[in-house]
Amino acid sequence: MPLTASKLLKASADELDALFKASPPGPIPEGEATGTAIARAGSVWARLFAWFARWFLWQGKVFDPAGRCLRNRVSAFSVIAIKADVYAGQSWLDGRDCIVIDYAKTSLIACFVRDEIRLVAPGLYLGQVYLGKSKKPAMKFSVSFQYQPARKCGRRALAAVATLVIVFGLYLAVRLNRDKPVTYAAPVDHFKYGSTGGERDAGIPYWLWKVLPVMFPEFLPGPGHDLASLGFVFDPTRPVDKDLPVGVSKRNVQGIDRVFLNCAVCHVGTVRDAPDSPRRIIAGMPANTVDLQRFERFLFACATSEKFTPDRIAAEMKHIGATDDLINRLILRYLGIGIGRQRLLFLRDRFQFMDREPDTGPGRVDTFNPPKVLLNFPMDKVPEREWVGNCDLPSIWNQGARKGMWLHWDGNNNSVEERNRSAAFGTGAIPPTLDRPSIKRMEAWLTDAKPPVYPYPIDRTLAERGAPIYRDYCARCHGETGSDFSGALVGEVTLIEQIATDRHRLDSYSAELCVNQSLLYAAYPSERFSHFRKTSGYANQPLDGLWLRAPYLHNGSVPTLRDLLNSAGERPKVFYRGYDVYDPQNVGFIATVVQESGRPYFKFDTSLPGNGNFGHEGRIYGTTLSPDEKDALVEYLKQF
Amino acid sequence: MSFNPHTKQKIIRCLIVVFVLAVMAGWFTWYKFFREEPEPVWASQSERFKYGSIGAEAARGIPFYVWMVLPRIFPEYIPGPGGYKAFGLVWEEGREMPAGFTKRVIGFPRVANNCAICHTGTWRSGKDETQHIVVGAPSHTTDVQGLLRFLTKCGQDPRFNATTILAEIDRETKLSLVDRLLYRFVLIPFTRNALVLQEKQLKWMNRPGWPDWGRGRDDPMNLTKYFMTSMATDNTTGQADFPSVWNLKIRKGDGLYLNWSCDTPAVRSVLIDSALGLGSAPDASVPFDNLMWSLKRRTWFLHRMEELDDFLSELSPPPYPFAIDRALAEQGRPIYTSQCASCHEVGGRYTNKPVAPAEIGTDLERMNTWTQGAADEANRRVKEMGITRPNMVKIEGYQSPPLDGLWMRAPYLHNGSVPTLRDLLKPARERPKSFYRGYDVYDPINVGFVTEGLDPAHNGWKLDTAERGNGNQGHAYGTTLDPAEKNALLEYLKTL
Repeated sequence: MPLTASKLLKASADELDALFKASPPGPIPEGEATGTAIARAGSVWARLFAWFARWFLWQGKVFDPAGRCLRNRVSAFSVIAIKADVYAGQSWLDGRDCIVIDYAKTSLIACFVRDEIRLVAPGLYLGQVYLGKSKKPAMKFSVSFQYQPARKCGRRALAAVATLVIVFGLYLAVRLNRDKPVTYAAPVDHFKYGSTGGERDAGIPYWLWKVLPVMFPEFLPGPGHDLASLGFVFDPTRPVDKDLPVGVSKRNVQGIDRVFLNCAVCHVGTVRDAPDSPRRIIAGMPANTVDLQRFERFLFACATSEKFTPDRIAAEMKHIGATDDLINRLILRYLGIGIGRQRLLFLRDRFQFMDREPDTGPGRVDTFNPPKVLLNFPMDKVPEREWVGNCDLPSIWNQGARKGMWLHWDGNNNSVEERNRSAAFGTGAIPPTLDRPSIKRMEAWLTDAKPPVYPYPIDRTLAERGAPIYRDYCARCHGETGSDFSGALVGEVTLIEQIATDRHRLDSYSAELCVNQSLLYAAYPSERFSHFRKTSGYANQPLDGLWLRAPYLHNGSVPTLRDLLNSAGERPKVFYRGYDVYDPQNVGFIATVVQESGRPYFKFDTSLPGNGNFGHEGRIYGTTLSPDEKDALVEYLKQF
Repeated sequence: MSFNPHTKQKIIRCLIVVFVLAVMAGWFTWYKFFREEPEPVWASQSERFKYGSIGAEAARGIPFYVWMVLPRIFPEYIPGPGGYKAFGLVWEEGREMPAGFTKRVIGFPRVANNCAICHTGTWRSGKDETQHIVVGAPSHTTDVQGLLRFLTKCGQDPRFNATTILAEIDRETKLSLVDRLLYRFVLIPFTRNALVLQEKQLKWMNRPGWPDWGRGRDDPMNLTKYFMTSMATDNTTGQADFPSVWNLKIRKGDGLYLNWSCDTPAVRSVLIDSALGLGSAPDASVPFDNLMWSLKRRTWFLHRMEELDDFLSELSPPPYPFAIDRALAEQGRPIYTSQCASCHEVGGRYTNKPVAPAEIGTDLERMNTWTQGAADEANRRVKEMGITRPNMVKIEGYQSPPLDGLWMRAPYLHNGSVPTLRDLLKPARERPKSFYRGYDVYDPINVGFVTEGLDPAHNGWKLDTAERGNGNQGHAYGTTLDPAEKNALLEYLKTL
């Protein structure tokens, strides 16, 4: 039996070298030959590798003696490519004659390759491959002109399909591992529009976000039936994604653009000088217009609707011009919409506790019942005194100067970073998905962010008269000035019996929740929550940017500073929240506007549980000052 | 028989490959299941007592992440909101684990218990006041039985499966692919099996109509019988109050006994047996556990028991934190000396010694749970583990303990059936028939914890003295004093 390619495949490297050395160069052949790659000659791997190479990489060569060249048959499709010069020369192995196949001048891809072949049997050449300048063969191959059995017709098709599957699989692997937020260069823009990582787990597909208000206008208040009607703020100066409101960030996760809330949704507000003036958008101030509870209920209502089906949503998306590609459309239609609906319904069930407390209205949230839900406390067994946790959104400027103070309204934590991670749960960021570098950038901005200066006229002489009153009455608890936070009791907790404000928010945070929070971030030891405590009062806060922090008290139950200096009986019993036109007279937002061009504002009733506007009153709180003194104090506070 | 060189070479190569693979597999197994990371350096012996290992993680450790998410998956098996805290555990603010719970990496992070689960207590001066934690005090708020039932119920629930549990763990951490597979195919099924087995072992306490332990109590000798000695279930029930474990030096000496009915003659034996019961003992159903025990754990364990003994012997009882009327207390001293000292003063004739049931007259059930047979069997088992310690015994009678830190040891009597010291000085028929245990606001008037009202009812567990083993009769000493004398005696007892 003559030598064949498959016999060569079984020989060891030494045997092949000996055969090569003992063989003549033979003539330069002509036409198409079948190639077999030989690596790790003689071992099991050789056959495996040859098989793989034949199927997917290299099938042989086509010699052209007239042109003194050859081309290779590459890939599963036997593409004729990669040219080489062919000439008689000396072998690098033994210095004797052989046929050299030289890619140096002919091929960009293979220019570092040199092959040598010799005729080892009729119609069968054995080759050595040299890579670069090394004179030691890196591997071997054979080219055969011997009879080959007719090609199994399925092989090429099969190989083609397999190649396609592999390439597509690789593409999908890359695509489904995509995780790329939209980023913003300016720190303040990053705060307003950047991602906390929440989209990774909680993200709503961008086109679903876009289609919901269009599909379900009946669940939105008028007029316009869009997200602006919920008080979301749209900023024309946003560098990209202007169609997303402030506080909504975007990230491509698994190839799908997703959006979710970030810190700014609760900590960016707006001010107008007059109903027809433009809105100033102020980063770091409490969000005063957005009604997040209403937004949640909107989402829950959508998910409950019979219109929330993949087919209808897909059709509507097409209608509003969704630009998702086929893969995303398929994912959304057959997976995404269903999962989204399930998660919304799941959240709706867990958030049922909201229904047993008064509505928050714009600019307020229930801070510490959601973490109980997160930990899946049995909410039906939560004692009634914990039910109402509604409180005003705070400003978040000057966090650097607040380091070490007791934070949150009840002063239950004294670590700024931990407080931030805790708040980040509200943006959907859980320990494995929190975008740490991004949060760091936001924290850097918060550290030194300053409130804007009071933009309306201040009566300096009047304010001067207010200064000593402030020093006598307020400074010990609220700091020397709006930027100097020194004071014996600043950042400390005042007992509830003394401050005597509404205690619902205090009671909603329980000792049970406190210790369970110690397990949050337990998988990341340096980030584990360890600063929470249960207190018996409310924390004394610095008053930076006070003019923008209306309505006042922890539950936002007193519309203006001037009202706060009155005793509870004289404070408004009912007023409206969500309107952003400023009232420089009383320092706060105008709180008497019921609706504006069809948009209703939120009626705040101080008689409801958690909404009490009492407390922070009496001689030491300044409510017994004379009207003139109160005016002077309010004038002074405008400078904070 | 001889091979040609080529075959020989092949065989040698194969052997090398097999050897290398075996070494890698061994290393992997060691790393993922047996590698012990050192414990943190504890700030003090108290910290170590509350959170440090007594060696129970190896055989009885629950994977930390599973432990962490169980309350979130099975909230309906918990008596109230608050995860594990709802079982009345002592859980300091900011601490990752409740007192009595240890977290340790043995291959993977595991959770087990230590002595503090039953022997660290709390008190507050009022509802909104700061909680004070007292190391060594009875954990009068802790519902150990509720905790055991919770875990075993979880193990029996069909939702205790890898998919559900991993979905919840994914909200806390990113497990690597290897760890994820280990959790799915090894740790979660093993934990489940262990919990199912434990449910079977605990059937005796779940018999219908059987009295509950409630907060701050367990059934110690039946636990010993059924866990340590695997004796057949009998018809006894012996709910007993957790004791304080401070100041153990005054309980050491020839002829002195510990445990409510003098079941053990030495402090070290009590420590060792209790720790073994918490899971420090080797467990034959855990792979390689007997081997690991005899190779290294036993030595470590006995050393740890010695350290604990030293620490607890010197641990001071907590001084009474409220005002004491010193003059009144001085009036109480002679009453104490004449009425109480012979049984309760250190060195007294009966202190730390048995008092016959006919004399003391308290509920007999606890005493009857223990037998000489059980003692022999327990002694044999401990000896099998290679531990030498003074043997357990059977004595007819109840131990008469010294009264150090008495104020923090309410409710009183061995079964915790009398809420306050003032009640204890009343005749049995005047003592409360039922009251709430497990609320930690202190009542300095009656010397004990507040047991009546909305909050104790909400946070506590109702003890019914009519239930078997809960009888509040007996110990009629001092019940005939006149009210002024009782007040003086109470005031004096606060100083102990």
